[in-house]
Amino acid sequence: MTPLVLLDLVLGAVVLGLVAATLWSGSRARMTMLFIGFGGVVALVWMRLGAPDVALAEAAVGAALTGALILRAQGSVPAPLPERSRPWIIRGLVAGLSVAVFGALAWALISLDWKARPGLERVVEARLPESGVTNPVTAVLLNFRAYDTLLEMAVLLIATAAVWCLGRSSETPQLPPDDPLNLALLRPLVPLLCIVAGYLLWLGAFAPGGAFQAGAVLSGALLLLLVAGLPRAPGQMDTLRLRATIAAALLVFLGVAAATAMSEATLLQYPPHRAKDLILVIEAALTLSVAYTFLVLFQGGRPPPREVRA
Amino acid sequence: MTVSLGYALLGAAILALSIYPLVLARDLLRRIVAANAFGTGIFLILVALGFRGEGATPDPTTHGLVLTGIIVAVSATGLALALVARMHAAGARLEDV
Repeated sequence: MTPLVLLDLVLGAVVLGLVAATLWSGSRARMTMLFIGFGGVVALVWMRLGAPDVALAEAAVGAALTGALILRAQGSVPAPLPERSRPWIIRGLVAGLSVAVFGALAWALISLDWKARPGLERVVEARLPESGVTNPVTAVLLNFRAYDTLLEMAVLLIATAAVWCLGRSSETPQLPPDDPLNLALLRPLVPLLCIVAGYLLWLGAFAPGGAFQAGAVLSGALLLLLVAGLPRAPGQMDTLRLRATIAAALLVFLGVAAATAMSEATLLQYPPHRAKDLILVIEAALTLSVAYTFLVLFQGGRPPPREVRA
Repeated sequence: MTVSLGYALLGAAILALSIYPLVLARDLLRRIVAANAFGTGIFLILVALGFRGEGATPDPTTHGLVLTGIIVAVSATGLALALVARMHAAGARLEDV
């Protein structure tokens, strides 16, 4: 047995075990911790499958940020009473549905001709020089299929607007203010996270990285400032600047789309010599918007207005 | 090719396992976690479809799709959690669900 096969078997077993342990764990705290661990191991699976961009996003967004969102929600949603078991017929039906879905998917996947499956990697490779970047995933996200990403930003903005409208954010649980460890940790960590975010943003053009990963890291810095209880830190008051930053990505994207539609006659078809600059401008706006969007999602509502100063 | 198939089947297994808590869990937070695991199963099938064997270039469009999916999943999770918190603040009990 080669080491790679061994790695595949171990990864598969760990992923399956973790997902089962997460979904059937006794307590919520355990469920959340196991879910974060599950995301970490899934990031390893992405690395194994040659998808380092996805691995970065999974680690930063799928595991860390989603975990933080669920941890934060535990305080505001009381745990339900001990599970009352449902009628056996319902449980049986749902279990049957689950087995049927697995059976159908497995049948479809096994009967697939894996040697002759279609793919776009050759097309992407052939047109890569025109895209302005050399990382094929960034080229797909921000050039070849930029329209998808434009709509994705619209989805993100709509979800954030809905959270914003649902009400004020409740008090965020904070670290003990006088603990000397806090400042010792925050002082090096926040600037470091900002540098890493900028680095990931720049790196996305030619290596794994990009706007979403950078935005997630930057939101990590903002979240640290939030739980440290620094009310003057960026993004913690309902100001026009915060609203504008959250909408910036979609607005910049729409501006580029309108400009290209007029000059090139096709929506989001960049002129090749300008492609790199346009992608960088869009990605910079994406990074900022994504970071502040995640901050609002974490708070679970709109932040308090500027006037309130306790 | 067996590597792709193996990981695609793993994705299908994750997806199928998360259906039961997604439909039946009484704790809404657990349902949201199950929805996330369900999504991860789909992502795994997609990336496995784009995997072309050791050393070969994988299909970057599947990676782009999955990246978009991860961001949409987290925004949906944030909205779902805010809705659950609001439901509770309005006096709903999780036992009614």
